[in-house]
Amino acid sequence: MIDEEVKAVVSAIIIVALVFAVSQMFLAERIVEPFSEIGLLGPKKKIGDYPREVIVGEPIKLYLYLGNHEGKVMYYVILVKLGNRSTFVNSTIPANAPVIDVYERILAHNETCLIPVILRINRTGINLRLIFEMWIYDENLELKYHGRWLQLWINVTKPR
Amino acid sequence: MCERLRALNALTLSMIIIVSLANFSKAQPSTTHLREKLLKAFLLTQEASKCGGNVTGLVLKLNKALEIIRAHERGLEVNVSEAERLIDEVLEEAPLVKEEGIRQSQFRFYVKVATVAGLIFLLVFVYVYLPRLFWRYWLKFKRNWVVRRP
Repeated sequence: MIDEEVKAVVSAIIIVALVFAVSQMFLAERIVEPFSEIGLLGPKKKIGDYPREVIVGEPIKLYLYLGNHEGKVMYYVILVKLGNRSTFVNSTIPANAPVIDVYERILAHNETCLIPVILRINRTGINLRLIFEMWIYDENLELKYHGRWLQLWINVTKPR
Repeated sequence: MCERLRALNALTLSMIIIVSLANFSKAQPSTTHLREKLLKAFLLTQEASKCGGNVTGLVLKLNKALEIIRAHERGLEVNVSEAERLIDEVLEEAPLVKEEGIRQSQFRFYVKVATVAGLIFLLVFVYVYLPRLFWRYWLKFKRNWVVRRP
């Protein structure tokens, strides 16, 4: 016969496992840490091969990667700004620089997308920064900075 | 006489052009108005998604409409009315998707509760009846066994 103590231990393990399984059933759909993704890919849709030296007016081909894991549909607006070495930008303050292009996309939860980006810069400069900022429309339909940004350093030269 | 006729023709033609242009601008909705509608449709879609509705189709339509609006804003020749039609469809469908989402969420919740109740019932059943059943069948299968004295 099975010892009473062994029986009690086995019962306790089964009950704990059961409670865990049931709690997972109810909590599985909950979003613990909502987040959004933004990434920049080179002209071959890979991380790398980014253009460093470009000619004024020449198209720069890139790909913008966006991902929504916020648990709801999101309306993303990506502002492309042209900054320089002294342009300040962080997760709370957007860059104070001219906007050279805008990309918009609405994404469902867990949806990602790749947007082809073609930019032209109309002035020369060394150590310029292409700053991509993620903005969103909030529940009051106001456009606000979402705190995600990335940058690409480039030198823009005159055609020879 | 001929010159008067020519002038009259030119006047008629210019009137036709002006009226057509006026009608054309009336037929093409402004992008500001469309953007407002798009944001409203987005908000409804977001609500539907929060309620667990399947918004894939709505998001596709919104993105298509957005693409058309942006193309129009960039000066490309596109049919802006198509964008308005898509947005109107989303405005119409989003509340239905939301309701369906609520219904699905409730159904999922009831299924979960039923599963938990079933598990608890099974557990109690096993705890109470399994030893009894086990020994009953054990005796049934081993009834022909003979116990020998060692």
